[in-house]
Amino acid sequence: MVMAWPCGLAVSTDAAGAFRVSCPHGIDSLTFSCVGFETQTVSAPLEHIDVWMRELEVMLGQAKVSATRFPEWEAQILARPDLMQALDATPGLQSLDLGPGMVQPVIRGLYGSRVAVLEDGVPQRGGRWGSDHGVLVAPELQVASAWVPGGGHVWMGPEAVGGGLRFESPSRQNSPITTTRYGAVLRAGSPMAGVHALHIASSADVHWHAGLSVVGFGSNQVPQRRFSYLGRVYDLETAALPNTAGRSGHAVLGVERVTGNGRNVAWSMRASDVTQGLFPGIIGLPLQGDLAPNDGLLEVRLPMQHASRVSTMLRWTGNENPWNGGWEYKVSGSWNQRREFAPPHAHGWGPLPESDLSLSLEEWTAFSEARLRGAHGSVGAQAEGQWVTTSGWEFLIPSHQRMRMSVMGEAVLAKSTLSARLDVVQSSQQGHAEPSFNAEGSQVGIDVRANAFDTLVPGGMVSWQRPLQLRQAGRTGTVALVAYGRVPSNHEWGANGIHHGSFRFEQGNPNLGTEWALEGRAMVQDQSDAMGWRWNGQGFLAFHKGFISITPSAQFAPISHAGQIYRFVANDAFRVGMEGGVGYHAERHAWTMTGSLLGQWDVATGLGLPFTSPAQARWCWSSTVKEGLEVELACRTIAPAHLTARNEASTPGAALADMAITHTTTRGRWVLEIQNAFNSAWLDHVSAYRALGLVAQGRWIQLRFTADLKKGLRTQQQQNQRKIFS
Amino acid sequence: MMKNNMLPLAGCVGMALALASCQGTDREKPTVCTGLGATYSVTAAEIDVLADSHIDLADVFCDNEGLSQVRYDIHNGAGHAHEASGEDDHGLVLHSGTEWSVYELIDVSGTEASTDLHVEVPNTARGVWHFIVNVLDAAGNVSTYNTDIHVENTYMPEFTLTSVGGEDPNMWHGEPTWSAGSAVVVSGSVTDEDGIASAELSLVDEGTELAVWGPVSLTEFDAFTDTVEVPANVSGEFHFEMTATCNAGVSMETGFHVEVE
Repeated sequence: MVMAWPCGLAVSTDAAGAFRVSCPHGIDSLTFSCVGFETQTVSAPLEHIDVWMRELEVMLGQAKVSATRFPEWEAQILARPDLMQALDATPGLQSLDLGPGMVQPVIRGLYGSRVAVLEDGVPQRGGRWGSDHGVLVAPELQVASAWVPGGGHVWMGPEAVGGGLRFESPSRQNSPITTTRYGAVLRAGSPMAGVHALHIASSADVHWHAGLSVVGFGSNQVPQRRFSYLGRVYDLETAALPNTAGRSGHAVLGVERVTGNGRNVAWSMRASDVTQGLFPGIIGLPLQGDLAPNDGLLEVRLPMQHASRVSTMLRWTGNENPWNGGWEYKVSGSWNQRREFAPPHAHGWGPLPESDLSLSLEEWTAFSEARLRGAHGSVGAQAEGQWVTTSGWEFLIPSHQRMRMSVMGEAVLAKSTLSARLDVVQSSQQGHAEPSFNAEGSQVGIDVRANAFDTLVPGGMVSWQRPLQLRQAGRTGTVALVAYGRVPSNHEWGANGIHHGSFRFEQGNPNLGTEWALEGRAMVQDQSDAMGWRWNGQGFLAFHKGFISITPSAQFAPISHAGQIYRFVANDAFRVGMEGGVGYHAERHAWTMTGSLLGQWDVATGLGLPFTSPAQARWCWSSTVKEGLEVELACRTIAPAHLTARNEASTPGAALADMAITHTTTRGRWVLEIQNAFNSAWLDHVSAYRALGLVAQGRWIQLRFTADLKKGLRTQQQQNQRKIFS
Repeated sequence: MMKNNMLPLAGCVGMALALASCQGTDREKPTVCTGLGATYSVTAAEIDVLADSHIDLADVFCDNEGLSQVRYDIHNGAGHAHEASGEDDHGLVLHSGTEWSVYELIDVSGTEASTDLHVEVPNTARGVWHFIVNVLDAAGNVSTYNTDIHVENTYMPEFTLTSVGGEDPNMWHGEPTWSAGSAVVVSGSVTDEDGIASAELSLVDEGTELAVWGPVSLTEFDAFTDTVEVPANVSGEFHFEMTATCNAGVSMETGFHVEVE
C-alpha cells in the first residue's frame, strides 16, 4: 500500500511492487506499508523512486517472529524435521533409500548432479553425481528447508535441472531471539536412536549458534527373505538387509555481527561424518555366507563406506539504503571425502589388493558469490572450483578438476521477472590405465580406463517468470518459461568402471556437450479460507536437447562381475509432470489428498528414462482430539511403474499405511509414528536396491521429542504467575 | 480463470504423450534358438562332464533385428543358487577346485548366429558349476539363460558325507547352523581308486582363517565317524574343511560353510 501526501491518496502496487500515484498539488511524501515489512516514509520523492523494504520483526506476546525468504518465487517450505520423511510426503519429491546417514533427494524424477543442494546459498558437492552418494545434511540443525521445482533458477547454479533444495542456517535475520532447540528420536523396526541440540543466541547486533546431532542406526528391516542379483538367488536369514547399520554425526557453528559502519558479517562452519555398512550385494557378487546377519545391532563390517565433510563460509554485506539492499558477498570452502571399503576378494581377477580401500574420492571445493540487490532486480557473479582426487583398487572415475564462472542478473519488470545467467565451465581429468587379467590371474594386457582431457564448455539460462494474482481472493500462482543449459558432470564424462551403488558398469563419454532444455512451469494455489476447501496444483513440461542418461549398450564389460556396460548417451528427452493437492478443513478434522504424476521419455526410442517415478498419491485424515493432541492416519498409494527404460523391469503398485500421534505440551512436542504399518513388501521403483529385487523399508515405529526453550519465556511466565497469585 | 490457464497445459501434455507413445524401438529380446535335445547347450537340463577333459558348448542365437554379443560365464556354484535352477533340491554338494571359472565374450552379428566355446575342465574340479549365457542385441536388449555343469572327478580322492549332526546332508536346504559349545558327529567316507594315504578334518574361522577345531587326522577312510567339538566362545562364519591325499600323491580339499551361533 502506498499513500501519497498531502492529498492522502492510497494506491496498491501490482504483484511486482510497481505503482503510480499523483496528487493534484504535488507530493511532499510517500508512505509505504506492506504486511511483513517495516513501514517506510520517503520525503520529497523524485518522479521515479525505488524503495527497499526491510523485513519486519515483531513481538507477539513473548515470541519474536521473523520470516525466512528464499530467493526463488517457486520455493516451497519442507516442514517436517526428518528430511527423508519430508521428501517422501511431498508430491514431486522422493528420497532414495540410502540409510538414515545420507539422503539422496529425487525431484521430479531427477537426482544426483541434476538436483542442486544449497546450504545458505552454497552448493554442496562431494561426489554428488552418484545415485548412492547422498547429501550430508542435518535439517534438525537448520532453521528452514525448502525445495524449488524445475530448472533454470538464476541463483541456484546450473545443476538445478530437476530442481533444488535450500537449507538455511540460523542467522540474525531468521532467528532474532535466543533459543535452544533440542530433541531425541528412538525407532524400532529399523532401529535408530539419535539426539540433537541447537543453541541460537541473538541480540540486536550479535548472533551466534552452535549445534550437534548424533544418530546411530541398525540394519534396514525388509519384509523379504530372498532376492536375486545377476541371475543368482540369495536368501536373507533374517528380515533385515545385513550390514546396513551405521552412525552419523553433524555439527554446526556460526557467529554474526553488525559492524560499526552497519555491515553485517557472518562466519559459519559445518562438519559431518557418516560411517555406514554397505549391503554385501553392493560390492560385486556376494556368496551366501557374506549375507549373514551382523552380530551387533550397530555393527558395521566390510563392505562399508565412510563419508566426511567440513565446510566453512564467510558472508558479509554492504550498507543497506532506501534504494537497494547493497552488495552481499559469500566465500566458502569445503573438504569432502568419501571412501568405500570392500574385502579384497571383491576385486575380481588378478592379484588381490593389499588394502580394503576400494574407492576413495577426496574433494576440495571453493565457492564465491557477489550479489547486488536492487528494487528492480539484482546482478551478481559466482565462481566455483572443485579439485577431486580418486584412488582405491576399484577404478570408477579419474582424478579431475572443474571450475565454473557465472555472471547473472534478474530484472523485475512491471508484471514479470526476467533472469539470465551465463556459465563457463572448464574441466580436466587425468588418464588412468591398469593391468588387465584373465580368469587364471595372468596379465593379458593394459586396460586404459580414462584418457586425459581438458575442455571448456558454455552453459547458462534465461527465464521469464510472472506472478499470478487471480480474480478470486487468496488464489495466487506463478508461470515461468525457462531455457537452460547444464554442462555434463565429470562422472558423465569420465566414468569407466563398476559403480557399486548402482550395481552397473558405467562408462562416460568425454565428447558429451551441454544439454539444453526448454521448460514451462505453472503453479496455482487456493488458500483463501482457513476452513473449507483448499487446493493447489503445479505442473511442468520440458523438452531436453541432448539429455544425458545412462543407457544400456550392446556390449558386456570385460570383467566377469560387471554385467552389461551402461553408457552415458545424449538423447533428446521429453518430461512432463504435475503435483497437487486438495483438502477439506473443518474445525477439528482435515481430509487431504496430495499426489504427483510424472512422465519422462527418450524421444528417439519412445522408452522411459531410467528410474522414472510412478504416479503416487497420499490420502490423509487428521483430527485434533483435544487441544495439543492430534492424530493422523495416512495411506500412500503408488501406481505400478510401467514407463520403463530398456532392460528396466516394471514395478508393481503398492499401498502403505502410516499413522502419527502428535502431543504438544508446554515442555515440547511428542510424535509417535508408524510407517508402513502393515509391513507391506513393496518395491521402490527409484531405488537401486530394486535392481536386486529387494523390497523397500518395512514397518517401523518411531517416537520423537522436540522442544524449543526460548530465553525470557520462562521468566516472563513466572512473573505473570507471581502477578496472579499476589 | 483457472480453467482457462490449465487448458493449454493439458493440451500440450496430451499431445506430447501421444507423440512420445507413437515412437517405436526394438524391445524384443534376443533368444537362444538351438534345436531341442542339444547336449552341450545352455538349453540342456544339465551337462555332465568329466574332470581333466573338454567340452564344446554350442548354441544358436536369434534376434529380430541384429545380434551384438554373447557372454559365457562358468563359475562354481558354491554359496549361491540361480533363478529357476531348482538347485535347492541338490542338498549338500562337496565342491573342489572352486577357483576354476570361464569368462568369454564373443561378438556375433546378423539375426541368427552360432557360437562354439571350447572349454578345458581341469583335473582339480569336482561339483556343480553354473553355466550362464547372456546374449545382447544391437539395441542393448539382453537375455539370460542358465543351466548347470556337473563335473565328475575320478582323478582325486572323494569325500562322501552320510550324516552330519544326525542329519543326512543331502536333505539340507541352505547352509547348516551349529551351536557354540556343541558336539557335532560327522560320518562318511573318503575314497580313491589308488587308495587314501591321509585325510584330515578341521573347523576354520573364515575371518581369521585359523582352525578352531582340528585338524584331526582320520584313521578310518571307508567309513569314518568323528565328533567336531565347536568351541563355546566362538560365533560367526566358519568353514568345515576336509582334505585328503591319495597313494598316487594327488591332494584335494573340500568342505562346506557353517554358521556358528
